[in-house]
Amino acid sequence: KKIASTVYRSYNAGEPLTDAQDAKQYNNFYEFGTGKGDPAKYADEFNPYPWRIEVGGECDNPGVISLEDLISSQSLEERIYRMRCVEAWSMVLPWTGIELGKVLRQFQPNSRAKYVAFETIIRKDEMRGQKDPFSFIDWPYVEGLRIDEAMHPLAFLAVGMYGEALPVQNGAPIRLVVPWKYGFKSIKSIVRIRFVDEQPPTTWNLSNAKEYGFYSNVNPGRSHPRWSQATERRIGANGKIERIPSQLFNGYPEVASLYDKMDLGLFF
Amino acid sequence: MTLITKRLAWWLIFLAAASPSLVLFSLYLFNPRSLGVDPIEVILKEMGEWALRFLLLSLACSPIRRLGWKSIVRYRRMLGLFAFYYASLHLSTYLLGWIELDWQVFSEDIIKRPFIYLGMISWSLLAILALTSPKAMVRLLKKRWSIIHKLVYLIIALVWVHLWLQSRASAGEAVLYGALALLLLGERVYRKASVYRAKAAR
Repeated sequence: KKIASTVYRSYNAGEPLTDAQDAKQYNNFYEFGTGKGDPAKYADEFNPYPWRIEVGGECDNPGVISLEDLISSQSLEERIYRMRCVEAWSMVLPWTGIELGKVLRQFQPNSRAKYVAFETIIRKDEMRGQKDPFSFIDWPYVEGLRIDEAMHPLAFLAVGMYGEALPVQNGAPIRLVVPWKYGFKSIKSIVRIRFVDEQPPTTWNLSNAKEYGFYSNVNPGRSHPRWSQATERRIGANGKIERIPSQLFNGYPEVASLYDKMDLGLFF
Repeated sequence: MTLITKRLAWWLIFLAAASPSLVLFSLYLFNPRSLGVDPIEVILKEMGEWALRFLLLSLACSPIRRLGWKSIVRYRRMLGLFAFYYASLHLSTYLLGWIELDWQVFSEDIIKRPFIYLGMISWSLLAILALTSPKAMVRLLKKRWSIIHKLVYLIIALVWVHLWLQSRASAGEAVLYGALALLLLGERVYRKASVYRAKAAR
């Protein structure tokens, strides 16, 4: 499915795009298995249509986001973002979607809305990874952002990639894209969004709090306990893989003011 | 068995054991795409896993002999050397392909990261076993040889922790290999215990 032609480009990362086929075949989406190729392999077992996201919690206008409304929205745009995985590989990807803040504001979050909590679908019959008895993850996958992070103009809700509808393995039909944070913050196949007043639980933090913090901003200065984050393996154009230095906030310094008074070593 | 069938069996086992590395390297040279988006990652993982598989196979030799296939023990040294061969390929892939000989990364890795130094220790111990594997060394070291080669039990334990430490979302693989290792080690303990009981009963 092609995405409507109202798309215009913004936020060009200025680096060559990762090949579309690589972006569609190298995925961490443990709902479909832990191998990088599993999500693409088992994608056709999952049917993402129709789709709606329930939005509620601390807001004056709770409701739903339907996929059709999002796709027909006039404000769909294409953004090219770097994607840095906590495992130290990275890609440059063109997303189609809408600024997250624009969507969230429609629901009129109130003054108690300090955080935004996100939840992925559970469908054990269509997502075989959710049946793995040795999984360290409790389903559903949950993620969260502080409200000011969620309202930052870089935070993005994607419905497409490379000008097409989002492939299942990349988080169909609607996913988050938070380019200054490690990839696992960018939760896929979202079914629920809630405004909450306390920091919500997040899946990888629940699974291993020493290794994965709530913020998980890309930070080459703070190594993961099991590997260095100083460099990353960039999966670039034509499948070329190069080790390059990583950048604080993944090279998006405009978000630095969100963390002005915070010790990034403590709040990792 | 005649000499010829013995030779043939030796070569068949040798080729079968070498084939995973031959297949992977020819795919890497001629069609890296067939190994997925990140061929180096696949080679790194496969080589490590084959090293562990050959370790387990070499441990399986003596129980298999007791089950009836007596001549299997003749190939145990070769299987053990293949474990070292794959462990060396695993290490070289890490050094050349993964960290691209960045010595700063390497020194940080080896000091701070348990899974890296446990892997390095395992490889070093395997190297000792490989160096002491020729028949001349067996004769030279006499009793000490079998003591040194008991290190294989320590190596299995270290390699398993090395594998366990990199499981992220699922422990499935580590649990599977752990169960196989426990089965092979448990069989030895059980046998030792029954020999001991038989002696005590006499």
